[in-house]
Amino acid sequence: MLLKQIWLLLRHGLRLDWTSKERFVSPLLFALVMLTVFTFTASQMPAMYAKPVFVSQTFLVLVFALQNAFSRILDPEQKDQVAELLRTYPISMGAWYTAKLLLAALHGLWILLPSLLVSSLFYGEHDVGVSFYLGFLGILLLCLIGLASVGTLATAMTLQASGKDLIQPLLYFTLAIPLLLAGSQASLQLLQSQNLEDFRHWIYLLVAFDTLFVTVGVLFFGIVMSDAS
Amino acid sequence: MSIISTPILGVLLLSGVFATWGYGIFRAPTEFYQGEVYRILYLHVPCAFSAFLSAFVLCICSLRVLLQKSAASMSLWTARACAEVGLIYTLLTLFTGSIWGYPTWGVWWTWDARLTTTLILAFLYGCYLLLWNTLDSYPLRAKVCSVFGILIFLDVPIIYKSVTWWRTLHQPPSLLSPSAPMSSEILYPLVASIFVMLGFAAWLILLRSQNIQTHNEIEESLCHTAHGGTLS
Repeated sequence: MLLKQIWLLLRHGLRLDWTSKERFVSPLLFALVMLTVFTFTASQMPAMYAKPVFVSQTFLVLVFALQNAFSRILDPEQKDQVAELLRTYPISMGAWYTAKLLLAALHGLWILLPSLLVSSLFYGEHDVGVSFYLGFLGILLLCLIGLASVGTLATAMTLQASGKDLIQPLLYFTLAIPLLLAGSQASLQLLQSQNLEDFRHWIYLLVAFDTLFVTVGVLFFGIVMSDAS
Repeated sequence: MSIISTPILGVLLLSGVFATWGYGIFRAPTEFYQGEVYRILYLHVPCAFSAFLSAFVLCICSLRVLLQKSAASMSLWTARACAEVGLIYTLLTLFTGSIWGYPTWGVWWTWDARLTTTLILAFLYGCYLLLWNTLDSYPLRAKVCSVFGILIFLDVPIIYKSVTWWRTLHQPPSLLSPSAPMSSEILYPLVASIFVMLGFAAWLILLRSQNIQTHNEIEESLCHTAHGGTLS
């Protein structure tokens, strides 16, 4: 029943987003522009920094581009009293939150995969190997779940705030720091040694943050959205 | 005004804080490895504990706001006071930590896990206050800020355990460590300084929450008068 609710809400969200393709295109374009600017700036650095810069800029691009997507993720709910209608329907608040989280994660994946591809072309001369990319993608996906859960909750919290354009990114970036820290550290360790033992604790931490943020989101999304209109 | 929030108690607690600093600076023995610089411990550690206390009380008050509607307003004022006091204590912790870090590590700041997580706590307190100011409606502010208050507290165990979870420059918890026990001449005054500072922080929180409550009551009365009512 819960899964069906999540699926219906997610499908509805995807359909709404698809009607305005700009929602998909603008965060991706933003990510690619940022990637180009970062790579251009980093190209002046010594070659020894190229790999760590590649890791850092991928994380930064993901976080900033996702912020672009988050700022509008609850827009459909704010129009035509959709939020009020959803509250009156017998749907679980947890399902509503999970659907929004998955929608945000899909947006993130849509940004991440092309960005990673373009980034690997930009840094093609510094060969890091396929196994690194696979590990890196795994870390990024773990990070993405946490970012999507934090971002969705932060957006819901600031929906009625007077300066939400300012406060939403502030909340999102602050709450995302532990995820960024753990994700970037795990990736840098992966660059140095591809032995899981060396960065196992960072992965545990990422999983712990993901679990924590998703749980908090599922528990409190309904409370935060109870007065949203 | 209750006995707890009287200025006399505040003056007494502040005197206690100064007395423990005085002991730390002038009377405590010189530490064998760190020399004189360790004396900042008598300010740094109590400030850190007070920042944690603020986060803990903030979390409790936030939970009360969400669960007990009848006690919501006073708990909310206390939560706001906790965020203010917590921010000051977290900044003091970072500041005194930097003063200790420069002669010990050779840098004012390093991206160490303990330092970074403490800095995040300061940011979170700042965000809480900003969020509070940008939410106009009372019920929404109560709900949203309470959820955020609980999120803030989640950072505290991470800060506390950061020195054991990561390889850090910061020393591991050494207050009650059986492996490297502190000399009683250093330990007992340090414990006393922590308790006195915690008492002072609690007093500040109480005083500030009463202050916010009064401010709010005056604002409501003014609003009532402006809309044609009379002051009760």
